[in-house]
Amino acid sequence: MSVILQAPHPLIMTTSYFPNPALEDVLAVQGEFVRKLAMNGLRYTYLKGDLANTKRHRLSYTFDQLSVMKAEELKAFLRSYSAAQIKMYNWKNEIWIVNIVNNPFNSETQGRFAPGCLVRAEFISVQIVFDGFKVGSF
Amino acid sequence: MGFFDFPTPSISPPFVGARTNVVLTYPFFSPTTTLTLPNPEFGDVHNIDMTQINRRTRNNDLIVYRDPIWPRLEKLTLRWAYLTGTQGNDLLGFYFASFGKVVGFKDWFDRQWQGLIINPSADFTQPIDRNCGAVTAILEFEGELL
Repeated sequence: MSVILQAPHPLIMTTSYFPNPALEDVLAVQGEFVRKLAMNGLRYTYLKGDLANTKRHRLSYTFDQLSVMKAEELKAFLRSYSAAQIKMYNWKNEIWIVNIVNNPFNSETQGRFAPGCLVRAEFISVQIVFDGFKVGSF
Repeated sequence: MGFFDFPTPSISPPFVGARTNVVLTYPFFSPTTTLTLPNPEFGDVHNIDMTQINRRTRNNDLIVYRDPIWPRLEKLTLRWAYLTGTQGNDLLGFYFASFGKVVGFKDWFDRQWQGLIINPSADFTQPIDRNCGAVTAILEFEGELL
């Protein structure tokens, strides 16, 4: 499996395949609510947004050990679609509609696959934070 | 933003070569000063900063907007841990010569950049554990890949 990014959603013009991100990926709820406590002890909560928007999630993926060319592909994707809605298929067979919310993006060269390899055999790490909601499975 | 405002990435792969050194040139056009340094240490960072707006509505919708003409800044942060004293002095001299001016930078992938050195007042240090005169230097370069 891999992570597939398609953009711009819904009129897809570009599809890019990336390897699975490293472990310690993050999935967190982005819905917000306000809580109030009445004088009689009753607790009230007010949800921000409709039900769909309480299901927004933040996903943080670190693409580790990308080859140089794959990192260039990811950078080109980010340059073009940093503000676009993106359809993402992940390794858990989930389909998400997301935006990229971390800006700026950092790509860091971490090392080389083996001593003596060519310069182009370096591996690169890029972290991307998405914000969006799950629309289904495949 | 309309769907067709997004510039589609090129379908041809970018040029990525290989070099054993990097080259700084100044001025960018008709350079008179050229400085060749070894490739920097691992841990170099390529930072892409897109000017765009992220807003959340009161309904918790996320609105992300970017106008194609808004600037995109790309910054390279490079670090050398073992420059010789001469190379360190040459780099310092290059900082003086090109202060605030556009320079050229040929990276270790043999790609040509055009831009500015944005940390000309960076520290050059001789670490205490290196008694052979080695110098540590950090270069922050903001520019565009040609």
